Amino acid sequence: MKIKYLNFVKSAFISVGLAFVFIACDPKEDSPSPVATGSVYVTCEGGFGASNGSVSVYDPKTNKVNIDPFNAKNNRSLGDIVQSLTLINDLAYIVVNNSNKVEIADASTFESKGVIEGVKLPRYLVKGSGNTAYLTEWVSFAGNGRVDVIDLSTNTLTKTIEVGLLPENLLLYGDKLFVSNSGDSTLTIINTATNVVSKTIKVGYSPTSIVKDANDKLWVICGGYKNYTNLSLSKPGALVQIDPTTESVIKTFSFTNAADSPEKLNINGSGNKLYYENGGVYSLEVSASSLPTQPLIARSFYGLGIDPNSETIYAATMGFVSNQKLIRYNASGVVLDSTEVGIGPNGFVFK
Amino acid sequence: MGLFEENEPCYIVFKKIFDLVRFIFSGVFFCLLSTLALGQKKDTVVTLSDVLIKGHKETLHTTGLQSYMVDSAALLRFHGNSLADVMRQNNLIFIKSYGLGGLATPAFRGSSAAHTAVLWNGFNLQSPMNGEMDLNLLPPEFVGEAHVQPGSNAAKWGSGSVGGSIHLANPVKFGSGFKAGLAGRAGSFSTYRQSGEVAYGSRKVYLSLKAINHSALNDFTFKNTFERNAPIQRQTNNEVKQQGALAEASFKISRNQIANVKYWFQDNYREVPPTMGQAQSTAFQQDWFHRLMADWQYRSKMVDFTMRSAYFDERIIYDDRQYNLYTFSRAKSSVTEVETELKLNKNHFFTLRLNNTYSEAVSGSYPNQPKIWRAGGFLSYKGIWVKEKLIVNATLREEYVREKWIPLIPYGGVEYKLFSWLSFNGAVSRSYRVPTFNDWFWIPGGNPNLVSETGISQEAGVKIAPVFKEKTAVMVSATVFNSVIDNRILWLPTSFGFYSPINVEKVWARGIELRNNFSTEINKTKILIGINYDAVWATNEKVPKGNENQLGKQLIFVPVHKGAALFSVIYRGFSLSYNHAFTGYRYTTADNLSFLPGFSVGDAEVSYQKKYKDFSAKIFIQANNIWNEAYQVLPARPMPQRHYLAGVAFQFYKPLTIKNNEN
Repeated sequence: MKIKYLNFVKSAFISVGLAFVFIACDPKEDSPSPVATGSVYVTCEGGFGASNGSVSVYDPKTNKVNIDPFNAKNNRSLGDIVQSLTLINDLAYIVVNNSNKVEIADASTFESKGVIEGVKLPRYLVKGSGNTAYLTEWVSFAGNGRVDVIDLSTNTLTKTIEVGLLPENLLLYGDKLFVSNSGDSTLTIINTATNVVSKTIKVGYSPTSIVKDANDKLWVICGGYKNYTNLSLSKPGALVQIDPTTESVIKTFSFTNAADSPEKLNINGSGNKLYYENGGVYSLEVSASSLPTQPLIARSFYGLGIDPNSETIYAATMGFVSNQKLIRYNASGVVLDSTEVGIGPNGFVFK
Repeated sequence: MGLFEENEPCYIVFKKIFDLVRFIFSGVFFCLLSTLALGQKKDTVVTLSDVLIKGHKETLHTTGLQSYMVDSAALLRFHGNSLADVMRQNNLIFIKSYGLGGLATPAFRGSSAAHTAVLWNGFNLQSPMNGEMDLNLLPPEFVGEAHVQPGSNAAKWGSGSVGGSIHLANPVKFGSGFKAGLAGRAGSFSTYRQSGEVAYGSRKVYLSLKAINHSALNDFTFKNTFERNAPIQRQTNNEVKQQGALAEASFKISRNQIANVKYWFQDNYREVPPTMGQAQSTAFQQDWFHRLMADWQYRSKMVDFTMRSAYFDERIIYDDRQYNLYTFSRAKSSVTEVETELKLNKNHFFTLRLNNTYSEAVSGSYPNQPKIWRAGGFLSYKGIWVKEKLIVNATLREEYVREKWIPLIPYGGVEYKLFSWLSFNGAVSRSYRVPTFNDWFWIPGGNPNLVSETGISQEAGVKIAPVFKEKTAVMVSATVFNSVIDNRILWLPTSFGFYSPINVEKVWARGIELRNNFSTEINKTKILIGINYDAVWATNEKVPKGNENQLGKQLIFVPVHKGAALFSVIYRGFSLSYNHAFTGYRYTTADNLSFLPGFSVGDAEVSYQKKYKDFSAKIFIQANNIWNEAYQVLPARPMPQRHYLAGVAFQFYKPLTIKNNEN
């Protein structure tokens, strides 16, 4: 009897031991697909704190996506919150907000070419004249942010310019750089010849994206001010048209509902039609006299982009724990196709 | 104005009765206590035979579920700095760790921290604000013993007992004599810890005071694989400071009455380090709490009666300068329970317990100062049948929360001892979890219409425990389980730029748990070997619209496989323990496209204890992660490689021995 028990116990221990050996294997990784040579870059933030941001590359010809070519090439992720991407020559400047850096990678192979460090909560980058670029930095939620002047030949900061609270997008118009301060209600204008602030103009609460239309007028979308503990103090957002020459507001279309968060302002290639996201995708002609009341696409999205050539609408779903959907629509809002991109896709860059 | 108004809703009447009963009893009770304390005489004779305290094992054991104990031996095998360490090193539970010194939450059978009830002498410690209980804030010095019980018994333990429960108890030691101890530790990353203890147990009184002081910079180095060229970096903003005290007083009022009071205070400061993808962090969190409980137990041949009350006051400050974030939250809870156990004879027991829990919170995040009142209770039957071979337990619970009844919560458990060495157990139960203050009231996003999560679970187990010789014991057990939890609360991003929770998910968890223990004694050398293996598949069976790619996929951060082996040998004053734990791969995205690889960590400890008359001295050294594994439990949160901890402890012990000493 005793021997039997012992044998049983022995075999139990051995089998458990063997089980460890077999189960210790990790699941097989999908072999990385080859880097797409396609033309649409999707900036995918990743989950906050998860450091799994990516840039997915979509090829409209084949409808194929390479989810994370940077990781496949360099064996590491881009970082925490991939906010934006700017193409300069053959390089992609990828701004990684919560990692306090700008990753530089070859725009087709995604081979890492360098990192711009020493910035605090960076957001967007735009090319200036010659070898310079401008980068917005939030710095802190408690005080003013700044715009950095970057020397692209050395990837170092040559100057920092203090602007408003939480500076977001930048738009270069001649030698004027327009910066939207999303933490307040202003645009800062910087003279790029001297790199000093020349003027600050008031728009609506929380301006974010800025675009330029065919008539050389600027449009900025403002998300509005939210006070969740006292809703009556909230202020609705606005779509504001600006004359960059006179540096003044031409007109303001106000949203009616303070709970709305209009954002992701885009313009088509011909510069005569605006698109934005506000719980649905809305569009209006630049000559319109009021905001549209009905959405073009009655579905809420996180990322929005307009192909400048085909006017195809690129919309990406919201989600930060798994890959999301990129859904394409034609200009009249009819679904074309859908495919999968990375986590938290917030915008598109068309090559 | 009368006590009861006309046309009052029944729950208000119910609450008032509870409050009245609580008021009267607590008044009488504290008067009694103070009288006793004043009139106490010094005892000289110790008789332990009439100690009334039910063994904690007995009260905490649930018929039908297997439970494992963190006893004094386990607490001595590994001198961890928190209960999270001790449980991990004794292979009791998978700990979700956010890094050294950081948040460490228990997770049974694929569930989350909110699905693990942590009870302290019977009172649930899960925060009413976030539903979590951080095991890293639990000093092992304050835990007399702990039971770990995988499996749901929400009928008995209430909301949150979904995946399992952890029971912390401070056993009362009447007649234990006088004890005083001091201990100091130092370890890697500027870790320092001091603790002290004074206890006195006479025949009728037990008094104990314990205190700890802990600090650590936790500035370990790691290879940052998220950065270009993977530089070696030193962790920043990761300091921990902790101070706490636990005071206990117990009085044996008469042969069949005992009263206990326990008070626990702790202040915890903890910085929140950056993840590997974040360049820096300026965040810190301060947790501060008072926990006070008192009970009165009356035992007789036919009836056991217990009255207990607790008052918890917790404050949390979260501060992050970079994000201009400062939140102060404070929650106060008061719990009162009355329990009657009727012993029909030595084989049939009925228990009725009524519970009243009141919680309120003040926080910038819930400006309306929410108040929650919960009333509930259960009726339970336990019977011993078939020549004492069969034990059955049936419990039925009902609870009233925010003007709604939760569904009836039943539990049924059975144990059958076929032979002295072979027994079977099984249980079927319903479980639930009440939403937290954050879920209901957080501004913005909180959803006041959330209902409780509910689930159903079944399990069956077999235990083989033959005894060969007096000193050799073998235990092999296997449990299979299956559970479904529906209406799971999930915070989803909204188009308004904030997250909001909804009752949406359905999770199906099933798996197997194997436990093997072997202990023997050869020539005064005690040897213990333990091997565990758990497999759990926890998959999403219902997902929010648009997230179909998560359907049927394993929950993130839940390893399918984990196993561990513990080896311990004790010879005279020497003790050597080694634990090797393997944690399998964990998916990091809900569509299961990314994962973190599995890892193995080995920890070892050597200690030596020397006794000299009434004094004893002990020295230990612990080497953690001795194989120097570089790993992350959660993505981008680095864990330290090999590190050390060493300590000394001195104790003075004077038993009450005069005559009849049974020690």
